[in-house]
Amino acid sequence: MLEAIFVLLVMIAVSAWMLLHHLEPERDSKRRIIHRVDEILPQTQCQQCGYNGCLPYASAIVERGAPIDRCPPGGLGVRRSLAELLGRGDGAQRRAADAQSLNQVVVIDEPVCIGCTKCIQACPVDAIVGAAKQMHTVLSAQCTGCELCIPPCPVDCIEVIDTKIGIDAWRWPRPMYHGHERRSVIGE
Amino acid sequence: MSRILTSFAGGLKLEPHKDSTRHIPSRSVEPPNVLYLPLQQHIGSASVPCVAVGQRVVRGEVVADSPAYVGMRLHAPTAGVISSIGDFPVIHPSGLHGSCIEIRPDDVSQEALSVSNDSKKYELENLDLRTIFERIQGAGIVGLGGAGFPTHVKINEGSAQRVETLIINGVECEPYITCDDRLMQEQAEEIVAGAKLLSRILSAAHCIIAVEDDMQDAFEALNRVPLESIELLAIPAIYPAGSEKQLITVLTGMEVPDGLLPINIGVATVNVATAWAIYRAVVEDEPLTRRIVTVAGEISNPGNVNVLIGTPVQHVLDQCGQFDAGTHRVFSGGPMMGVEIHDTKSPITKTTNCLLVTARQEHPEAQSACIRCGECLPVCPVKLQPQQLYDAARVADVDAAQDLHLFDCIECGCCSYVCPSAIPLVHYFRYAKSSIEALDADRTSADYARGRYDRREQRLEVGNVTDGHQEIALADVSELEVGELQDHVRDAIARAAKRRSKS
Repeated sequence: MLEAIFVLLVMIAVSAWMLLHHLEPERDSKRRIIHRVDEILPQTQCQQCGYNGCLPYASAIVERGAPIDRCPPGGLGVRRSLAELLGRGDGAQRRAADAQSLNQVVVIDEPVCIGCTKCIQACPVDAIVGAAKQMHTVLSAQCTGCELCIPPCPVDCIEVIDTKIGIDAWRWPRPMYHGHERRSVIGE
Repeated sequence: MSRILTSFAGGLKLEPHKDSTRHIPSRSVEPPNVLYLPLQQHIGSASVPCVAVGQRVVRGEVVADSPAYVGMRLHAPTAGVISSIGDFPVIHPSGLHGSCIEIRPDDVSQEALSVSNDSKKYELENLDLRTIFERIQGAGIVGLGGAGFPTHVKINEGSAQRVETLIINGVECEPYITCDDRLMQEQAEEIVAGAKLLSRILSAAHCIIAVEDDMQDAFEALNRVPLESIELLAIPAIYPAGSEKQLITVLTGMEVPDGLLPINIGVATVNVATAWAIYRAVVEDEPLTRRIVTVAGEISNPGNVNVLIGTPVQHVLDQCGQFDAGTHRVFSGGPMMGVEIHDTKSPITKTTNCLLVTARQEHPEAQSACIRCGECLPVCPVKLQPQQLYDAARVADVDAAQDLHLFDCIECGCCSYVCPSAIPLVHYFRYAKSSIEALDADRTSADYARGRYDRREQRLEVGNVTDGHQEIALADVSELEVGELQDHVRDAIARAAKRRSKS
C-alpha cells in the first residue's frame, strides 16, 4: 500500500515537472532559434544590417520578424541557410549587395596614427591594440573587416586590404576545360 | 621467414618509361649563380628567416628555423651572401610567388658546417638515441618522397607509440621517376645504415625495405649489403603501390582505418632517400642541402642529377640538354600526380623528385559528360566512388562529398586516367577539398569573432556603469543611421586615398 502511494506521488511529481517545463517552451525555443540564426551569420559585426551586431540582428529576425536579406557579407549563402532554417523563401535570391567580400581586413598606416584610441573603442571584436598617444595596430588574424573603425579615425590612417591574395589564400579553382593529358603523356 | 604479400584494391599497370634514366649513373650539376630557398617546402608552418639581407653565410649555416612543433630548419646549400628575402617564383599549382631567401654563392668549394656543435664523426654503435634525434632534427630532414612531412616529428610520434613494422619505401611507382632507384643502386650501404638507425630510434620490431619487382639492379645492390634482420622485398609494380597506405596494405595486410594514421596501427613508413639523408645527418653530420632529381621526358640528355636545394629548375634543365620551351612544358613530379612548373626560375625544393618535360597538346581531348560507365570504380585504390564524388564536387555539394569520404582521396589520378569522357576528376576533388577547407576556415574565424564580440559586450555592460567615457565614444558610430554610417565609411576611404596619393 505504502509503496503504491509512493509510486503515485513520484508519478505526480514527474508529470508536474514536465508540465511546468512545457509551459515556457515559447521563450526557450526562441532562444534556441536565435542561437541557430546567429550561428549562420558571418560574425563580422559590421552593423550593415542596421543592428548593433550579429546577435542583435539574429534576435530581431526571430523576435520581430526582421527581413533576412540584410547581411551583405553573408551574401546569398547566408540568406539561403536562413530561408531554409526559418521557412521563409523571400531571401533566397541573388542581390547586388552580394558583391561585398568577406575577405578583407584593415591596416593602420602606423606613421600617421596619432594614438587617439577612437578606433579601439569602435572595434566590435577587440582587434585593435594600442594606448593613448601611442601607435595603434590591427591584429589582422582577429579583424573581421567590418570597417567600423574607419569613420571615427580623425587622421584617416586606416585602410582596407584584400586578404584573398597570395599563395596561402589560394584555392583550387573549379575545373573549366581540360584535355585528357595524362594518358597522352604515358602514351597508350 | 617469408612474408605473404596482399594486394590493395584498384590501381593500374602503367608503362614505366624508366629505362632511359635508371641505368645512367647520377651526375652532379654545376652550382648555379643564385639559389632560392622557399620558406614553405614542407607540411607544417613556414620557416622564419634568421639571417639578414647582406649577411654572409657559410655552407650548412642555418638560414631559417621554425618555432612550431611541425616545422623545419633550412640551411645554406653553399657559402654565399643573402641578397634578398622576398617573393619569388616557386613550384605551386597556382603559379603564384612564395616567400624565399635568395642566396648568391661565393665559395662553392667550402666544407659544410656540421649539424651539431661537437662536429665529431661517430661510429654508429656509439651513438645514443638523443644524439640521433637531435641530429635528424638539426639537419632539417623532411619526407623526400614528395609529401615533405618533417621526419623528426614522425620519429617523435612514432617513439611515443609502439612501432611493430618500419617500412623503408623504395617503391617508386610513378612512371618516369627513377631518383630513388638510382640512389639505391649507388648508396645501398648508407640507406641500409640509415634504416638501422631508424629501426633503433623507433625500436621497431621489424624493418622492411620494399622495392618494385622491376628494379632488379636496386634489389641486387641492396642484397649485397649485410641486411641482418632487415627484410628486403620486391612487390608487384602496380600504381600507386608506393603510396603510404597502399604499401602498408601490400606488406602487412592491414588497412589504415579512416581518419587514423599509420602509426596508430603500429606502422611507420620512411622513403629510401629520407633514410639516406638520415644516415648523412647522423653519421656524416651533414644537413639536408642536396638531393637526387630525375630529369626525364622529351629532353636530349635525361638522367638523374645531384642538385643543391634551391637551384633554379632552368639551371638544371640547361645541363640536361635541350627542349623547345614553346611546344613543351615542365612538370614537377610524375605524369600522374605532377604539378606544372609555370616559371622555370622556380627552385628545386626538398620534395622535388622529378622534372618531366612533355609536349603540349595542341588539341587536348575535350571533356564530355559522365556516361556513368563505372570505369573509375575498380581502379580507385581507396575504394571510393569517383563518379558519385564527381557529381557532388561539380555542384560543390560539400555535405554529399564528405559523406562519400572525399578526404580519403589520395589524388593518385587513376580515375582521371581511365575516364573515357576525359573528365579531370582529381581536379574536381581538389576543388571540392579546397572549398570545404575554405568554408571550415570561415566558420572557425566566425566562431572566434563571436567569442570576442560576446566578451566585449559583457565588459562594456560592466564598464558603462562606472565609466561614462566609453559610452560617449561608442555613440559616435552606433547612433548613426545605417545609410549614414556607410556614407561615412565611403568618405573616409576616399579621404585616405587622397592623402596617400598626395604623399
